[in-house]
Amino acid sequence: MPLYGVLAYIATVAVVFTFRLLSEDYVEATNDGVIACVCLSAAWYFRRVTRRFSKMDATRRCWKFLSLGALFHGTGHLVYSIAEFTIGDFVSAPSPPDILIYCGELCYIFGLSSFLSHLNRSAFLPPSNRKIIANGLIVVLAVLSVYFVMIPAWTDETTSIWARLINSIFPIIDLILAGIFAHLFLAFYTMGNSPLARPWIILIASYVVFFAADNTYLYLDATGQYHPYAFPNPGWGLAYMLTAYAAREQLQLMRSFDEGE
Amino acid sequence: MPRLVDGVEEFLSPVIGQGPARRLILAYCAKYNKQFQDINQSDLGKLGVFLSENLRIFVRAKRAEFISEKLKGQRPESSG
Repeated sequence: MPLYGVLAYIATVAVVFTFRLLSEDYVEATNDGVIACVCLSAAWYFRRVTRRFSKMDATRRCWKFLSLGALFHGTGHLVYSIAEFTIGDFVSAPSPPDILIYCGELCYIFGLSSFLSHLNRSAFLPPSNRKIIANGLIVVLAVLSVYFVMIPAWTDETTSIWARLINSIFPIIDLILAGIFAHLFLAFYTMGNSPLARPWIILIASYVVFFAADNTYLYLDATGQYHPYAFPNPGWGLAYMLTAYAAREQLQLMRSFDEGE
Repeated sequence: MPRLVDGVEEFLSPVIGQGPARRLILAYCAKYNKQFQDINQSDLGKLGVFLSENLRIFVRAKRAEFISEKLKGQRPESSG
């Protein structure tokens, strides 16, 4: 996804959401369709990055998992979009396509934690107390998540016990990912202005937007305030746009290294 | 008198960034118990291998090795 694609999405969403140009019934279906396309393009870029590594390279597996994660997310949102267009209304989470989205999240966790373990051994990073700061940040996020997301989800008596359980798994997965991203952010932040860090900083920014959108959705849904024109829909779209943009930047970085031959 | 280490840092900065370039050299010095300013031509081989080991998490190993080979060709004059 090139940068102008991200900017075009922001401009389009700003107009559509400000003036409510779509019928409420089709906002989510359209947004999920756009997200599906963006995720599949991110999967394609991640796949191309994976193919640039040889099978002997340790970090090849990380990119492979990121590609799979984007593929699962894209397929999940595609199923959501088709279902929503078919019934002409938005489908409330949790629903069967969420299984694909869970699988995608697990792939992201494996890929990113594997990359982080390699990065932590790198001599490019200075010795610092970044791990303590990242862990402190995770504790703060966990407290906020329990108070604003998990407790309202558990005390919502209008939903079944299964829906409550599933609504509690999402914030836990989000917190695990947030922890990994907090460590990655501080690692790349201490690297300073490096061309190697650029794609990762964009990927981290995408997760910040995703985390905000996901948790806002869970809070609004649990408190009965959710509607399709609320922040989560454009938030998810922007997050996936930035993921695809980061994947393309990593591909460009690898190309620029190859062109030096 | 131009120092070889400045040339190495100048060569690495556009590739990996100024901060990581300096930290890589410092980590190399710490590993082999050397002074920063004492990096000489005989260190470039080992420094190249050290660079390659660290760079291969971002780019494929063959590419990292190619850059480390280019590093070995550095001369004190290249520091400008």
